[in-house]
Amino acid sequence: MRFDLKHFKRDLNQWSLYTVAISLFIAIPVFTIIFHLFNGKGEMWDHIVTYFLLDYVLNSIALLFGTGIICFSLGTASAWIVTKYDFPYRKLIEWLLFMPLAIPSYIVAYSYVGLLGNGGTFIRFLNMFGIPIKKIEMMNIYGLIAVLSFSLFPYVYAGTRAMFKSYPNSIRESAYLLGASEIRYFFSVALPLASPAIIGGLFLVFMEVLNDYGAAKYYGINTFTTGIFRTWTALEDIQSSIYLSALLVVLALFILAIVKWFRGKKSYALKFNNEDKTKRYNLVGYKKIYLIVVFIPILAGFVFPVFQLLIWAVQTFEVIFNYALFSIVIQSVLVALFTALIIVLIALLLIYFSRWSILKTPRFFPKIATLGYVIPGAIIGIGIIRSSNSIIVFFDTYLDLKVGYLFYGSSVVLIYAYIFRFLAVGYNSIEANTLKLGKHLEQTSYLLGIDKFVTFVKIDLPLLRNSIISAFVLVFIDTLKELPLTLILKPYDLNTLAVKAYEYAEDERVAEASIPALLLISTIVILITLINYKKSKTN
Amino acid sequence: MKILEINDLSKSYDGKNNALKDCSFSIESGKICAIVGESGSGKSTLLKLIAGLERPSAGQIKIKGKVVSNDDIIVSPQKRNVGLVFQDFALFPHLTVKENISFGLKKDKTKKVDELLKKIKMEGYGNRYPSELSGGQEQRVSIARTLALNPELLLLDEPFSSLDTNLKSDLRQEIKQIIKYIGQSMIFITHDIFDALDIADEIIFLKEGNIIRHSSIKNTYKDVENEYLKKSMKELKLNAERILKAVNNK
Repeated sequence: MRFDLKHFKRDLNQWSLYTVAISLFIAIPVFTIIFHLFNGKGEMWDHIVTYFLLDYVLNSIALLFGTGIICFSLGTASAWIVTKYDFPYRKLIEWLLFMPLAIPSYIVAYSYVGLLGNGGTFIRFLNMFGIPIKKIEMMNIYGLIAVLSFSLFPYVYAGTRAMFKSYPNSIRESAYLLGASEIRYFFSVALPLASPAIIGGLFLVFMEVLNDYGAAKYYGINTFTTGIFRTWTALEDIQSSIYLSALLVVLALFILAIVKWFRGKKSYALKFNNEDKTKRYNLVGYKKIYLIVVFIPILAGFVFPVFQLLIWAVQTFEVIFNYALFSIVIQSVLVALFTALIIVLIALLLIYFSRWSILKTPRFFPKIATLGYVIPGAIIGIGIIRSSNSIIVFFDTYLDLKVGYLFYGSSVVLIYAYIFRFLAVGYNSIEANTLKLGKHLEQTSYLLGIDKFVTFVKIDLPLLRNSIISAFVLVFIDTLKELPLTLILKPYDLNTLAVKAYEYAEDERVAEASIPALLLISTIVILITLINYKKSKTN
Repeated sequence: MKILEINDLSKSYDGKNNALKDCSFSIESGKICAIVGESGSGKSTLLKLIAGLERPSAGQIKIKGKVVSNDDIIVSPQKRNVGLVFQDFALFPHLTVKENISFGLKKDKTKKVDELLKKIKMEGYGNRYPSELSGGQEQRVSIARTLALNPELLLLDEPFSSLDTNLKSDLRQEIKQIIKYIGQSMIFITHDIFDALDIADEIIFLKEGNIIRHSSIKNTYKDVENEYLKKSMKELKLNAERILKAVNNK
């Protein structure tokens, strides 16, 4: 990026200014955290460093390693089986492997306690067959690693499967003709070629692990995120929670740097297929045993948790299924719809304003605005509360205006937080497609005398329609599932399905959490199915 | 009258290396000019600077006597009245041939589109989508779309590079006829000197961002020291020898 001072005045246009202004406005929570770091340590900081910090660091690292290894194994192995072999109901199984994404990890965590805890469904089943077991202890770090892995492995599966599918058949055939065995081909050709997708998937897994609050809290594991909450709410020391947040951001950025470095080293210029023309082999004989590899993640990540939730739902249906629940569904959907709509709009504005900016420097700013995806929700929450308080105090002191109710009495602050947290989801999926479109179409339109806005409406918008819809649905799903941010910032009279499920579980009424959880899951399943259907039709 | 005047034009993308260095030349109205050079010689950059899609680091561009870019002024591509046909034709994939051609028109759309479809000999293709056309047809539609606005200057980016040899020769003549018929000023870039010799009135040779020669077709033929001409003739001779050898062996 070079700054051309000589032509600054000539090349500066309004789009540069809009790009910078919108990006900075969205990234206020980051600046707030950085600013407050210089306010000195909080009262409880020394206490936290002495008694908790090591626990937070070690547990978070253990979680990252454990889930990373399991997600890598489950994700790549299942992607390999469904792209290399053909077997009955393969397409259905390919789709089912995505389904764990529909269940928030904290809900998977609750359901496993119901399955494997004292007198749990699976335990009773084993007892029926004379196996005298009382419970399988899940509420420890190993249990948390297992639960997070079952729930997050599809991030690795999705990208890896797409990569395996896109290889030209000639690559595999060449390897076999050169005498490579199946195992050698997998380890020395297929896996290295798919490494950018695998690393991308693992990065998302790591970010979700660092963001997790509900599962870790329920299992009683001290992580950075639970620590930030505890420091803030129980110890009432927001300054120390900002210090913890800064450490967590450093950890997230460190992971991001490793991913970027690794991806930078591994880029392959191959002519990939855009559609699935993969030649598959029939799964026959002893090889049918491979199906275990695809069934384990489906059962563990989707079927078992949903089964347990259904059992609880039957038990609690009469108490829980009422008008209040209906109102929560409506509120959840409305908030998620509104958020998704605004995020898609802001993503489009940022993408096109920075494209229309002649100066190159402003094009860097949307990167700051999309940092939210690598910053856990708890930190964003604290950043926003801190900045909101400063604004409220400013209005009160200098203008004698009480604006606190605007911030905390409505959903404005919550939606702003969602925008910062999920802007990257919408931005990246739309931007990837604008890059695919290239610049020639819009440049041609300009040369035909059409202005930027009309070109955008007549050319770009129709061609980006599918990616805009995908971005909208992805943001909608993420917002619907989001827990820590919503817990921190929701106004008193707003409730979402995610929060309701969490509240029941926190009150030791985990069975009652099942109906909100199932409603959440079924909405997401329908949306994921719609996206997949639309994608397959487009192909 | 000069349709294009370029003075000391330079462009650097990174502030260190120049894609184009102190280029100066002018073109008379109604002439066809070919810019010939190898990959990385700065041909595409020059075309984009003329169209206003890139901004020069230094120098001045005038179209029909009016300054369109220098250190202080930049006239937007929409206001330059310059047409550009990209190498990939850039037809809007979601619009039909008719809709593509009429895209920039504000009035008399049907009449103008029918006229142009006739001129490019594609009368029955108006309702087809770009994906239903051959490469040659796509190119003709792209040229028609650009000509619909009567640009002062037509720019073509490697117009023949994606066409096979048989089609290339016919299309070169076809384009030349259309352009000469309407008296259009045109600049096209190519790495193939035969494209240039076939249809241009004058040729500019670019190497590493510098103009190394600017001459009329007549003078280019006489220019025995011209390295492109020498290289191409050598290749042609080698190919001819190879064919003769193969025929004799049979």
